[in-house]
Amino acid sequence: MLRANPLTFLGFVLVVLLVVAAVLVVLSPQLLVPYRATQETKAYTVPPTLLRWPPSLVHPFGTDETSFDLYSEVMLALPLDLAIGLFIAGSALLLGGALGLVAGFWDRPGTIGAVASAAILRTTDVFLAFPSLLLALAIVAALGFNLNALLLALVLTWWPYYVRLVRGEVLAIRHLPYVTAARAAGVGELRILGRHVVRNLLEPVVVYFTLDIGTVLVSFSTISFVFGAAIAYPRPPEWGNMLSTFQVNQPITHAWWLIAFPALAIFVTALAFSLFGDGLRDVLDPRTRRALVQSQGVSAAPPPSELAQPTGPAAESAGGSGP
Amino acid sequence: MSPEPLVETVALSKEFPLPRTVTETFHRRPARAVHAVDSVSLALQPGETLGLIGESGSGKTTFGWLLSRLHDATSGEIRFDGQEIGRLTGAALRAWRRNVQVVFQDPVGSLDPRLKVWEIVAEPIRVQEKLRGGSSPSRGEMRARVQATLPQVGLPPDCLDQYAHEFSGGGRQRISLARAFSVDPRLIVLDEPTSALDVSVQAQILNRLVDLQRARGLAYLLITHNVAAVRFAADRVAVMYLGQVVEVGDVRAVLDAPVHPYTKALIAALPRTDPSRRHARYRITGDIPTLIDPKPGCRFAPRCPFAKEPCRLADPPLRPAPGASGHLVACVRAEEVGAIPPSALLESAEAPPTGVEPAVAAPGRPGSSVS
Repeated sequence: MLRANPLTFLGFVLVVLLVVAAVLVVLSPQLLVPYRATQETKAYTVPPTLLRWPPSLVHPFGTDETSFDLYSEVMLALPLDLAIGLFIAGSALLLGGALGLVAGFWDRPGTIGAVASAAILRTTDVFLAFPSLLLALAIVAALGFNLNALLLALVLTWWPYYVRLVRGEVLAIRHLPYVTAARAAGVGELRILGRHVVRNLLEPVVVYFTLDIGTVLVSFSTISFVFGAAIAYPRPPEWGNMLSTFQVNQPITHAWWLIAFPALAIFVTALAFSLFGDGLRDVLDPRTRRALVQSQGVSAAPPPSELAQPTGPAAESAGGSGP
Repeated sequence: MSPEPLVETVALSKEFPLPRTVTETFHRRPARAVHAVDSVSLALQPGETLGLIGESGSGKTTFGWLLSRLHDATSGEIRFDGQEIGRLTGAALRAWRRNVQVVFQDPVGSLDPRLKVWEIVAEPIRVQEKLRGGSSPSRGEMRARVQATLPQVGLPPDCLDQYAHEFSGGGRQRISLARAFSVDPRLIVLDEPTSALDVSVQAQILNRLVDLQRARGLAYLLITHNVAAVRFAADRVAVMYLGQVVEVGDVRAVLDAPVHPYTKALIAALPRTDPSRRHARYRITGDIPTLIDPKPGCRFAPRCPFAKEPCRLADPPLRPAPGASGHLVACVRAEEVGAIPPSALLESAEAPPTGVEPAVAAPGRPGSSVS
């Protein structure tokens, strides 16, 4: 069914490739990473002017100024960058989503829920009032630049968006007649929340989440870029960090590959998750899912009708115009 | 009227408090409220259909929601089978809910887009079985039960695994009916069940409702704008205006010989097929006045061509209409204006009688929450 849309298919394939590659890099690096990060390449033996080798068959992404194989470096950064994206977006989703559910569903005036949701929303407002990137930079600056500080800074600035998103969806869904009908049938509030509200907001939230992974990566790289130049060797293998270092030390006119390939890695990852998110939207929604299946030749049963014979006096009565 | 009504409301009221404005807070005035339903006393007999008509914002839907305990009443009582149910809470309320089901106007929003037909219809059955302490039926059993009910509402039994969006408006409304009937309720609140459907489908749904009522002996509260639907399906009809019942009685009595000036206007405003009368309409001038803290006196007085001083002093009580049993009307001047047929008012629209113009300009429409 994913094949129905070639872009969706591309996104799906890319995400699978990225994840498989990341797992391989962690489990058996020798398969995809020809040179370890700390290992000097053969390039080191050539004269210093040739240390920055342009892409070649031996070094497909070229080498950097210390003669490290750039392809190895980019691949080594893959698991870390993917994990970072998933961790930050995932934490924000769980934290912000849970708070958003509470704030959206239990806000009847005069209840404890109303107080809780007011507290949640005002806290959210405080965080949203800061430009998020600046706030994250400030937190990192205060805590010192390391991986944990960066993760904490991004999760802290990321969750309020999920509160807003989830609360908005809950508010829209909880007044729909099918929720009221469930209540009128005696369905409990928690079950209404789980079966009718969460299931219906899952689609936009999951789509936002997958799109968000790309954004997180870019933001992480940005912060890493801002602080990265200050990092002493050996550099942690991270795409944003690479960009930052190379951009300072190696003008793009001299060694374009040093900028191009880490940037391409970020771009491809963000694009893959964007396309994947779009496709997920279609798959998650029964309306478009059925359409996708139908486009493959499986037809659903036609809708029922007992048209063409309006029976009884109501035929005129309901259609007529009064006494 | 028989002595034992299925459901009876006594002076049932619902106010929606408005948030206090800055001025009100500053002057320490109490917050104002929208009086959506204002001391309504109505009764439904078992197996009877009560039509509820009135323009938008008259509190029809709010009244339906009060009866089905989807809103909590501000004051007044609801007796179901002689039992006060206005204060039921928790599991007792949820178990009681099987008695009253609701069908909504919006055929799209009424059905969860992520659930299959059988899941939609099975949910009330499953929940109510659980509340009664019974073991939850298995998936196969539940599907079989749902499959058996689908033909009763005119759906093919093989659509169990379809989604709501695969049906037309009429098909969706049938799924809503199947869901409402699934727990064998004693009363169904039909909130504009046919307004969103085209005319031939409206007729099918109404016929289906009447058939099901005959077979099962349940009562309907039919909330609608559609006077023709009420005439076809209802036994009695209540006319609401600004949260109050102005007239109630047998369908023929109320629709053919309306007593209250508002009912007359409503009947006269219906479009006609007779071209000679097409432009001669008895119009009520002005918008429906606000429901926010209404003044005492007949709610219709500002727009009523017959309003006199006593109309503006106190709320007119609902009292027997002259010459008809079981026909109640809330009009001080019922004896004087009752005999004037709506058609007579049509002619007078050409040269309006003095006092037709509303004495008070409408201060704006109430919120959509009460429509």
